[in-house]
Amino acid sequence: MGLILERMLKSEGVFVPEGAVNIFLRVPKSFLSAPYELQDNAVVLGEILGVEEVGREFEADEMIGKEIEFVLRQGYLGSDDWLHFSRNSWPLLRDYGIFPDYFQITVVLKEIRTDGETIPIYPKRDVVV
Amino acid sequence: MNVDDRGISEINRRRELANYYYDNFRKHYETKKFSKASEFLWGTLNALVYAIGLFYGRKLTTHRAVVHFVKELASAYKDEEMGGWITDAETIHANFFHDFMNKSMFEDYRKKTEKLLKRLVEILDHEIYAQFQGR
Repeated sequence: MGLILERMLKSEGVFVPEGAVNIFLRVPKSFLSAPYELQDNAVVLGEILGVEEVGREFEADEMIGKEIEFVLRQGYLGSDDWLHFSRNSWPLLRDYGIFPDYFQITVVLKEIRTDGETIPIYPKRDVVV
Repeated sequence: MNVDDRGISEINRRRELANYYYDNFRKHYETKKFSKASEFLWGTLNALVYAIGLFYGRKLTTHRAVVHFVKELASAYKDEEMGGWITDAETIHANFFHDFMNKSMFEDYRKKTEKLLKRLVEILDHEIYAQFQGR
């Protein structure tokens, strides 16, 4: 169970959180930070469900099920927040040659870690963005 | 300065407009339509500055008035960077009309304009907070 998000990898953020790289997925505020009252730097844990390369075949089997960690940066304007890949997690994708603007990733976001507390994300059902 | 309920309603409307313009900026930016993205980035700035101006009893309806007011804010907040960023934002505005920026040029001006927008959001939120504290 959790929040299922299918997004293109993006880069070139202006306000990158500490402990994260400048590569991110956008997530609507209404699906994550608003209902869970999250602030900047909340750590969000998830699992990879799929990786696709735009316009090409890509073998992603080895990556499916791998855990992945994000650091939240709240969007200062607009309807989205930014889930930056943590420095610990990014090499997992980087080492397979997965780049922003060319790859789309599907993840299920399962847990939030903030202020020493762990909060499950949508534990009762899968919510798809 | 205290703002009446009508003013607060207009400030909230402009804040929402800024969100709407910013979402549109992101949409065009991510599809690399830099001229259109420039229009929405300037529109976002305009909506935020207009909203802040209402707290000072000002209706900022011209490009010149918007730019001048941001420079006043920069001076009031002793924020030199802000005074420079508004010039960068004006270049973004010009790109909407003339479409002269390549990607790397756009990135440079876009990042500085986004820093200004974030600063303006902080100022606006501070003014809104102060307004409700004073009621």
